[in-house]
Amino acid sequence: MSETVVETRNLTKIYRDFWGRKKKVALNALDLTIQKGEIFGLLGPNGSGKTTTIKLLLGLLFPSSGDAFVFGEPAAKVEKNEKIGYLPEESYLYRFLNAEETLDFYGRLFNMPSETRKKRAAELIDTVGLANDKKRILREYSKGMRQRIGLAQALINDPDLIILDEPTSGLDPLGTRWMKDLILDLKKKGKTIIMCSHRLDDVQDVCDRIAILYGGDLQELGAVSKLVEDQKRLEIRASGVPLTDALKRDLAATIEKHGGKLESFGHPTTTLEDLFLRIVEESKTRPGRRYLPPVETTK
Amino acid sequence: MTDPALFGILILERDPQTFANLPGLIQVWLQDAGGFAAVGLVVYLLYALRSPKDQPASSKARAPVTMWMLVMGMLSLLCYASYIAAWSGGIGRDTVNMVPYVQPGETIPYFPPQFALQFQPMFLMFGGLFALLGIGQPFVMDLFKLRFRRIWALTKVGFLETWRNRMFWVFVLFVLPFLFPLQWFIPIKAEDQLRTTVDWTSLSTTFLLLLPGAIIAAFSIPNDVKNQTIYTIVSKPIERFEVVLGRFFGFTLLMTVPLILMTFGSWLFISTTTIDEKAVEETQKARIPHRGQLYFRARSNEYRGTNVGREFDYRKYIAGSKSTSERAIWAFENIPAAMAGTDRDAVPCEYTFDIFRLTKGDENRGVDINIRFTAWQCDQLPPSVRGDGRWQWADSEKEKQYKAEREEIDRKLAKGEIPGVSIKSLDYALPNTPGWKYINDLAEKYGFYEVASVEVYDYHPSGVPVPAGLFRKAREGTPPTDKEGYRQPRVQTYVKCISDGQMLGMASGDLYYMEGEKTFSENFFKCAFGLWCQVTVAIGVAITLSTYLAGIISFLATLFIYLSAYFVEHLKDVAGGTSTGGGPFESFTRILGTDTPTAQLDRTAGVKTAEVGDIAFSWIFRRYVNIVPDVYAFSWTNFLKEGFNINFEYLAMNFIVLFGYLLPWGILSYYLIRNREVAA
Ligand SMILES: Nc1ncnc2c1ncn2[C@@H]1O[C@H](COP(=O)(O)OP(=O)(O)O)[C@@H](O)[C@H]1O
Ligand SMILES: [Mg+2]
Repeated sequence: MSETVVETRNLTKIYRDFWGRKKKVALNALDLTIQKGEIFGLLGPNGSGKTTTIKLLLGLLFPSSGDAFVFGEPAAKVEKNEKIGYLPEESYLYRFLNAEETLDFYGRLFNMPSETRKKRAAELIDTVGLANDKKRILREYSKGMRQRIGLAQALINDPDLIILDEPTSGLDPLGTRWMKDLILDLKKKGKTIIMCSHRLDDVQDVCDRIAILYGGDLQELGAVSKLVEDQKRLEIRASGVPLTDALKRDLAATIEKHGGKLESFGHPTTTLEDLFLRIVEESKTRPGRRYLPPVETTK
Repeated sequence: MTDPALFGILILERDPQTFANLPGLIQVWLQDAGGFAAVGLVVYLLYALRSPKDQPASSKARAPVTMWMLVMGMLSLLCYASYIAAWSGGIGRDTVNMVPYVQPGETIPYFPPQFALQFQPMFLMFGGLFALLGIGQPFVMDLFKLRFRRIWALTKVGFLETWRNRMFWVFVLFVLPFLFPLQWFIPIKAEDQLRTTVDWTSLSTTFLLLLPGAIIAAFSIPNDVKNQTIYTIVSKPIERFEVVLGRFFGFTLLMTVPLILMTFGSWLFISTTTIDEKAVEETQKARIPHRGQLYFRARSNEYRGTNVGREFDYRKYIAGSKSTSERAIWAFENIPAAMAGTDRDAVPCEYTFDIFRLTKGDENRGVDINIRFTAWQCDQLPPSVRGDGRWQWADSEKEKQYKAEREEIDRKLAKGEIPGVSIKSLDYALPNTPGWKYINDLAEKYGFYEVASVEVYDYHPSGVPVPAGLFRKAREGTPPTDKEGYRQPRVQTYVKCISDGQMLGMASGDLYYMEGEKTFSENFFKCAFGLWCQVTVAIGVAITLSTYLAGIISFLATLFIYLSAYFVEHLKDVAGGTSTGGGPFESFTRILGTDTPTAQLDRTAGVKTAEVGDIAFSWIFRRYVNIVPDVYAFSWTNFLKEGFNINFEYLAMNFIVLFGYLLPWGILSYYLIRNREVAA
């Protein structure tokens, strides 16, 4: 039996200016349920409301209407933060502290006793590969190094829910690989992970389920493997045969015999990217487009 | 007699707060802070209870409403309603907030708040108390969730942020020249050397700490929001108020470091440079004065001192004449043990009087006065016969004995019959000489000592030694209580003006005994505590404002509140509608009519409107004055530079006042930061 870690009901955020005038509807009536042990991806172009969603879950923003619950508690409660680790979009850390001091500071905020703090900090500095730079202040760090210390900071309390905002931004391909492996590792330890990204390969590689946001609206929701599957189309993959006109003709004939039509013939592409781009295109042409959850048929 | 030595003058516009003022202060605090709390509570409840059905769970979690808050809110409103009823019915006058009627041009004397049991002030007090209890509930509940480790972490970060900032050290370098003594740049009168140095160092220290303190405090949380460093902090399981507390402690600590350095630096400077002897004698000490209550009596029962009609005068006058029965009398209810120590020879009595000449007189000569010192065992009575200026002992037998005994000693002295004593009369005896022993013994036996005649100069501090024996006598036994239940004071001091055609003016603080002396250095560091309180107030206000406002606005608002604190005495006049020429609206009408400020205005409709405007204005103003810190109470420079000891009691009161002032700001910041969308 899976347990719900995050639930949003009709979650809406409207940014207002100082005088209360409406500036931007950043998130519109979002309904989500995230189960324990999942890696959940929030996908969407820049400005689609991913970060807003995360801030609402953390209580950094207050919903304009609707509700968000984390571990069954309203997002405004601070107690829930005990089991959450958060890596912000950019490393929002104090630049005048060094890596050790940073981890010690956040450890104190979790009210961890000194010994636990020291032990945990040393482990994490090793994990994120900053052992050689731990005495340097963060002002001197590169973007990638800051991202690493940011992740270490997010894991200081050994959280059950880890929220990562664009975890791979600013990392080189090797760093990206390392980050993804780490995320998969955390999943193996039974952690729940929410990550948002506009980098599709990241999401496809690690996420179990994704939500695609555009303009604050939820457009798609489901398991990655299901979403990228196109029911009206058929994919044939083969290896060991060369790409020739003869093969194409034969295949087309066979498919026609079964009442179908050969649409394309060639090497495969990243299907998630296709899906993503198609959805963005469709949303632009049909502004009212929204994801509707499938009607429940059981019971 | 003794030379009129030069002493410091401590002219107090108002007395420092003592523990005796606590009940009154607490009542006023409950009224003021409670008034704001009541407004806050009503706004909060309206906000939290609006359309309760569709409220999301998260806003309920942010703005909880408990039964307790509702009940306290109701009780508070009930008290305020009763207050209004009592006020309109004229029941139980409000002596606390009453504005005294003052003639135009007069200053309103400052009275420390007295606890009042009348209906109106009590209703106001309880209204405030309930409101505070209501609005304070979530605050107090959350106080239990605070963890020292987290606050300390935030404190350290706040401290390190500035400490590791190069700008801070540039500032410190920039500050150094201000600590150099002023006399290096401009010439200063010798006896004023220390005064000027003290003034200068404390003024520069105050501003050089206040401004940066307020800037750092005002910009820190807004910067955290701007740099988004606050995201990683408030997404941890911390109480948001801990951020405020951490910042507050961090910056207080941060500013304490330069304060200590600057104080120590200027102290070191003062104690190593050679200061003019005159200045040392006048002010490089810390006198501990023992003060009494002043009252006026004469043969006539109605006599209560004369007003000579000088503007801005808070002194009362006695007329000078050989046969006058008018006396200014200081009553000392208690005598501290230090004044009556057996090792002590004499206790100096110091005074500064104002001379108002009715006849021209000799300008170069002062005025002669007679001072009588009595213990409670030697009660004095005014003369009963018209034209007789002599006060008598209640026990006339004793008086005869005393006179006889003294004459006997004087006779022996005149003949040189007392070995080792060379003076010819006790009138010439000085402390620490063999003759003084006889003075002391007489004073201890009879509880009486008199200085027949001594010259005083206008506004010039001088003094006479009083035999310590008199105080030893006064400390014996228990003085009786009179018919009204007032205990007779242990010591009274009667001042008579002898010179014809002169008026001698005095106020309560103008005469005191020197109980003892402490060191200038100790006083110097005590004075710094007052400065520390002022800086702390600025930091607290700036941080509170910055939980909701932008950095620059918080800073300017803090500055504004602070500067108005320096003008608060004047503000109080405006608020009381008693400044010359009425409030701003009336002044405006006068300007339009080009009237002089004191001319009586015709009561036209326009003038009436202006007056109503002034009443409304003064009401708003008084509320504003309430949020202005009482910086005067933290300023000990006058004590330091005139060489008067700053009691530990005063400093303890400073701390209490500081806490009382910052607490409502703290509660405000608690609500503000909790309901702040840090990421918006
Ligand atoms: N503080 C803010 N005030 C006003 N608008 C904002 C604010 N933060 C974000 N927005 C707007 O809300 C929308 C969603 O932003 P965000 O959630 O940050 O997008 P992303 O999906 O890139 O993380 C954007 O159009 C952005 O401009
Ligand atoms: Mg984003």
